[in-house]
Amino acid sequence: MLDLAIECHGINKHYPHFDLEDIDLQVPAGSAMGFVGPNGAGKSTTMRIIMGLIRQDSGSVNVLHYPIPEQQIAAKRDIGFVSEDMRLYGSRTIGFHMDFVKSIYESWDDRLADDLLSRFDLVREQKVKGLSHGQRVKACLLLALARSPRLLILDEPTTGLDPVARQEIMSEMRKVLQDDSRSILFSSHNTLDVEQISDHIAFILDGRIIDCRDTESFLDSWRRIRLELPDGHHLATGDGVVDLQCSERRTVATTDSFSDQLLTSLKQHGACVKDIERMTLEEIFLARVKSQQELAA
Amino acid sequence: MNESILKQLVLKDWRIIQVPVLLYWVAGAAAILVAIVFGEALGVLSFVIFVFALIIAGVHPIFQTIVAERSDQNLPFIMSLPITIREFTYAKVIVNLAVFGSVWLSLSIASLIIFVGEDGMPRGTLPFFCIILVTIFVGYVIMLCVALITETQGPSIVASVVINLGAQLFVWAVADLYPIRSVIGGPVAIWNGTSVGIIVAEIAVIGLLITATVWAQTRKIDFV
Repeated sequence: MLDLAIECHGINKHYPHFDLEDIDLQVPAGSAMGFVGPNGAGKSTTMRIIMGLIRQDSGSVNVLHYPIPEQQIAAKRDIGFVSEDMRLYGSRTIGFHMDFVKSIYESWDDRLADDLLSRFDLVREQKVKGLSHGQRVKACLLLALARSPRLLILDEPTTGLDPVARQEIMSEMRKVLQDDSRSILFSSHNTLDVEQISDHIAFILDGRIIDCRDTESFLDSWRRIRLELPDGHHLATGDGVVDLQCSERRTVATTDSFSDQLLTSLKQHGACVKDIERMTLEEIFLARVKSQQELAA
Repeated sequence: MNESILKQLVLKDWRIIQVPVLLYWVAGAAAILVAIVFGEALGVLSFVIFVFALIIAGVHPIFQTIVAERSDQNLPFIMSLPITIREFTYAKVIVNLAVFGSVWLSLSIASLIIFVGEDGMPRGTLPFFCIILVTIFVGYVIMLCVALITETQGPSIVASVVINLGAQLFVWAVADLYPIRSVIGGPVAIWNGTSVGIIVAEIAVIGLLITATVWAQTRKIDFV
């Protein structure tokens, strides 16, 4: 049986202006899942429910085999959580926070903490209010990593960071994944980050998971196909074609289930395939959102 | 309840507020010193500084450790750690009551010795003065409870203003009660049923408020 670091079934949470609906999410142990969605899609709410910070109205959440929120304290001993809206105490130093977190966790590793301090170019005596956004994120990540948690939950950790700081964060995440027993769930607007590091990807839109697969099959199944259609021939969306852009001579079909059968089917409709392009995760995400919105309309 | 975590939470908050609290304590002590040195000449000034130091020693830690923790978005950090809402709430109550309680107690004892001592106000003022001191503590506990329950600035500020005005009205009303008024200027402290009853009732209110707030707070299900 597959060992799951996170297992969510049918999570619902109602707010006056937003509903999280029927969220199913499974993160296998030892893997990284990228959680992608526009602002207000429900990424942070889902992650907060997984952390036990807010309680779901219905549905079950198991994190590291602990039911949440009932046994969140046991689960949190092995979770490192960093979120974009998380702030440390501005008037205190990084060292103050290190000492505090160390006093809570027996697993705190002084050597690793010092190593991270130097790698992140942080100074123990530095006050938090004097840190840049990037340094603040790195300080939060240090506090999470220095106790070697089995699960990292990172809500938009790279948002607003310069490329250098972003790479540093990504590099630390890769190091975590070198250990097969450790897992990561992270959300990001930056699909390039997600593509680089995730074994699995979940798209969330308007409080619903609209797609969730392993990264390879995501990237393999989506294609942009440039076609030429003889006069009088028309294609329609459906049967694997999620979007069609037609101009006078050229038609561009976007598919989420690319296969030889699809190409054969297109040819049977009289289409002449001119070019087949792989799509980036960002293009896939945008196409998925568009098709979902058209379906909803 | 994990006592080690509770201790760490209390120490964390104490480290954050210790400097201002010590300054307020010094201000309160200075007020008492002024009363000793200058006697009646600066009696009103020392009393005003004393009350101000007491109030601010209560208000500042409440805003710093409870209200600011939410408004400054420190809560996601704290609540992402293996800390129960019960430990979190107990820590807030303990650190705030301990900080204010120690300032209140030390300054109250000192003021009682000075203001109602040999050369101070008549001894008959003692019960009324004790009612004022306990009323300050009740006002503080109401503020603490409102801050714990709402964790927001607006209601906490409104509560502090209402308590300030309410406490003054209460003290005036108490001073106007015949059993209090009739003994206030006397040479001997008379603890009649009214003065004792008021103090006992105030202590009961303190206990009730804290118990109810902890009960309500530990039933919260959303922490951020």
